[in-house]
Amino acid sequence: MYHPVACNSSQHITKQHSMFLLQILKVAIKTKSIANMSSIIRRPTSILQVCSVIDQNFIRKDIRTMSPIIVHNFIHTTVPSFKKDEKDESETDNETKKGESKKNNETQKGAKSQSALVMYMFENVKKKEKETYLETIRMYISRDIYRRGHVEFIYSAMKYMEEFGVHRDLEAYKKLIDVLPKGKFIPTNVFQVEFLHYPKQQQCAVDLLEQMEDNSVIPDREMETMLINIFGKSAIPLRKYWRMMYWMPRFKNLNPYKFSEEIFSNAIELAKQAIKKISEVDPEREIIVYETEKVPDSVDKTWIVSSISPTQKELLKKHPVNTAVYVEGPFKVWMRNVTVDYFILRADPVPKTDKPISEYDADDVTNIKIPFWEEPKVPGFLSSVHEQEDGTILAVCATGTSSKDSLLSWIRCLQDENPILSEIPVIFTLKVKTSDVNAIESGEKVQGRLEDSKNPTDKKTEL
Amino acid sequence: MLTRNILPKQSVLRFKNRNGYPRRYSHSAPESAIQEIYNLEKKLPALLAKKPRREPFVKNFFIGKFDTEFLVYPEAHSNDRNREFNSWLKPIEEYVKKNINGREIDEKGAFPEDLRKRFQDFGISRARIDELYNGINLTSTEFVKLVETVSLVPSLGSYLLKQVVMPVELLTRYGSVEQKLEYLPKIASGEIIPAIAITEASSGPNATKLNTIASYSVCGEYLYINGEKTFVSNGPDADFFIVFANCTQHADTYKTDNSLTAILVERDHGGITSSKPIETLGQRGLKTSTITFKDTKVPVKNILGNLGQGPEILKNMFNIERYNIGGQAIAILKNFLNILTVHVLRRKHFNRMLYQYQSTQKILADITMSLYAMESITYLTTGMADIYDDQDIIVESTIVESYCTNECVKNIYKAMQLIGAQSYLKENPFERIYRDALGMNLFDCSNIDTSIYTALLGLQHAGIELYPTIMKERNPAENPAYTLKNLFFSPKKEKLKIHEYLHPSLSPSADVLEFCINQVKTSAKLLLNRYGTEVSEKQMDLLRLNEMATLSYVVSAVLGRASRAYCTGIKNSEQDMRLSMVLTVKIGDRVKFIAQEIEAGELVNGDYVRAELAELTVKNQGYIIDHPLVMNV
Repeated sequence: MYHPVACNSSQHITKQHSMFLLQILKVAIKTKSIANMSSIIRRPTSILQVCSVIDQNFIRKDIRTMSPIIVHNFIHTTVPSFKKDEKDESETDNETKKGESKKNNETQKGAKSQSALVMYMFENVKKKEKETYLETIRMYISRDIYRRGHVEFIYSAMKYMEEFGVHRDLEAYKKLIDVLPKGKFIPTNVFQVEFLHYPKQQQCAVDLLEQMEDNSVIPDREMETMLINIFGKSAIPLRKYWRMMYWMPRFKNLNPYKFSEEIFSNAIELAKQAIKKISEVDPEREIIVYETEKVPDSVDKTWIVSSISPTQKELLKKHPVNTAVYVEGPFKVWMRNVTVDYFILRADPVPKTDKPISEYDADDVTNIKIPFWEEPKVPGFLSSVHEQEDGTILAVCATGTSSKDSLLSWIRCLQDENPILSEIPVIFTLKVKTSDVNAIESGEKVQGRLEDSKNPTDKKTEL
Repeated sequence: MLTRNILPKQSVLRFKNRNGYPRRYSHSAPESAIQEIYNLEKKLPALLAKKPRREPFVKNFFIGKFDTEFLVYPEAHSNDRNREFNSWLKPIEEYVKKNINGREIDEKGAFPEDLRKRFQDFGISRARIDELYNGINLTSTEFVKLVETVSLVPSLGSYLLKQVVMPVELLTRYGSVEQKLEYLPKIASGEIIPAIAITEASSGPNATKLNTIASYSVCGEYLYINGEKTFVSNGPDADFFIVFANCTQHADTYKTDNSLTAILVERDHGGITSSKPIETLGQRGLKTSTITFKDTKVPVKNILGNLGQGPEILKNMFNIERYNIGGQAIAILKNFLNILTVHVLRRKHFNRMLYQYQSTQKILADITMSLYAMESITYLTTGMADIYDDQDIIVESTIVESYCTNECVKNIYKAMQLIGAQSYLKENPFERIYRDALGMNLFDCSNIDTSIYTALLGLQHAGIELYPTIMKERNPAENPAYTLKNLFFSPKKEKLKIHEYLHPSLSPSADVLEFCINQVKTSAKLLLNRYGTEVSEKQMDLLRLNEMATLSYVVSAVLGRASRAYCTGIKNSEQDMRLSMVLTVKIGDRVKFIAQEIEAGELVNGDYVRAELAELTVKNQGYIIDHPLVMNV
């Protein structure tokens, strides 16, 4: 398993080194001018200044013994063409900072032109979908073996993800990470590890992971291998990755309403799940799908997902024939980031008939009921969960068109099992119809419902 | 001693003169059946006079009281009556043993054709009917013995119980004199077979919401019954039904509240059809079917009790003679043990005979112990009913029912594991016995409901007694004096001194019994304190409390019986003693464990988690835990 402890690059840390780090820490605490540890790590020269003479010598000696390639790694670069200059500069050991700052300037200049190009690459794509997105990345990789400005490329590619609809797609993220060169950024000694080797690249990878986290995309094990190949085991992106892998799978299943991706492309399935969710309060409910084609005189040929429980049937049975019931809606139920309209069959609230609180006494043990025959008399007890203070809900449905006609068909369908419904007057109290689940069927992208709730004109019709 | 040995003919004359109604059975009875006439006129010696009613025995456990009177194991009848009864029973026993083949009944799913006739001959259907109506009025003890005898083939026992007990009891309790005169003698003679129709496809065992409608005719003198009843035992054979239906004036199907009524319906009233018998797992001779009533025209005088009395009758039915099934359970397990013993004697296992292994010994002994306990409580309960006038034995009966059926099934299953593959074969009787036992446990009653009912009855009793204390302890701030006193001076424990009423060598066991009763009391009080009246919803604790009360009752019955056996020197009474001591120790440990669980509360004993898990399971309509092979990362 992935564990935060695993991110320590234990093979690099010798006792000596750890002593040294301890020393730095002590110094940092003594000189209060330095705000925190991270600022120490980011500024190697400042440490050299504050460290005692011995430690300074120790660091210099250590740097001197390094091979040129390793020392080159100290200098942060993205453009390979500067390699030669960096080598020269890095050999003058105590001028590291200078070389670095110069390098950074160069990179930024290049970055501007690079990012403009990259923007053009993404902006120019006609069909914004996953395939073209991946194709753009592939084009970038194959264009130039040096991969100039890949950090900028990644940043701007990240911006376009949502537009291409790949912001929830793990594969796209992996392809992006794959842009980073392998092996180059791996630190080879403890100092590189400590002083943030290639900070810009690391930061880029961390930002990418952050964006994944924001879009709740959980990385996989392959991504770990990729990151290790790019940054080595002890880099910050790896820590970020491990932290994500520790928490995100744990949060993944916290939502009790977790739906598979498929239902969002299937309107009936989505409506079924929505009705299931909204009627969950009574586990006895039955969810039935009616086809209005079978209903005589129906205009809309669509489907109806209806939910009614035995208790509700019982309540309907008891309903006085001369009092009306209402069909109300549409109401919204959220399914992840989509809403589904549903309608209810409602009766007027029943006045509470149970005993007032003063008469109920839990201490009166002379009066223990045997619950097989007597219903419990607890204050506020309603005979069923459907009898709420603002009304009794008798059934719930969602239809393919959310039209009045489909709701009429719904009532007709309910009449089969509840003959009393043909005797009770049914009043339709509907708001203006908005968009509906049907949008999916016509191939549109499912988005949050655009409710035109400004002027809800009530239409009342008696059946 | 009021022993009567009246000649058959004289008895018939007396009978006729006294009641003055025609003997209907004589029309259908063939004259040549001498034995039948003998049995019909059979009268047993009179009963001993009943003693005055005592306080309920097990209910009092819940308030820590113990009536030592019940430690004396009951001998309900005079020796004469006993002898007469046994001679009456003997031919029945022989008939069941020799002529009835359990396996054949199981395969065919039907009793032999002459069974009804033979039962008439023996006069079995007269068993529980009062002498006034041509019955022989067996006592509870005798009747359970009869059930035990007949239940050698378990479905036969059920057949008897369904036919004889409930309909007769309902008629006796609620029927008018005319109704009794009309139907009881017919039932006694075996001319008609009664059945009870309650359950419907849409309703559970608590059948207060029924869809069967009895609507008045225009003239108001007849009822038309329409509806369908499921699980009617003896349904295809029955000629007489007690039907529960909603009576309506205007055939308004929606407004049927408070009109549930029991109605006596004869098959001749027309419109009655019975479906094919339901296929059951065990007890296959007993035919259970769905009965459909279509415009069955019944005169209004056939309403049992009053209009709308149905719910009350149903409620009381829950209490009627539930101990009878104990006899059946004893018979099944005893029969099983006998077969098992022969089996282990003849079977070789590895290098030795099976009976020589300790594991076999354990199971044989365990079954013996269970049987001993089952017998003890069953016949103690019937003894209570017979000796004391109108004794409250509801709790005892429900305990007998749930304990005996449970033990029976449990022990059979244990032994089947010992037998191994042989018990899995259809050609051996073991699996059949197991299926039959299951029928008793599953089909007749829900053991869980019975257990909860038992505990609640006890708590109701305790609630009335303990009300002042509970009131104070649940409101400590309002009763500071009581609370402080209780805090510093714990109330003195009263010794029950049970050992003084038993054989001295049983005194350690008596202490265990005392401990058990104390624990029942403490736990009952604790639960009342914790939950108040809402205790009736805390079924997990109620089940525990029931087990404690049950085991305490078992110990008291077993000790009483062993003590009597040892003092009178019954055969193998030495074993009685040892067995009861071991049983007591085992039960004492169990009671201690349950008491600890109750005291620990729902967070520690797991009830809280159980409720949570169950809720999620219901919500998900199935198992909620992911498969072990599922990877989340």
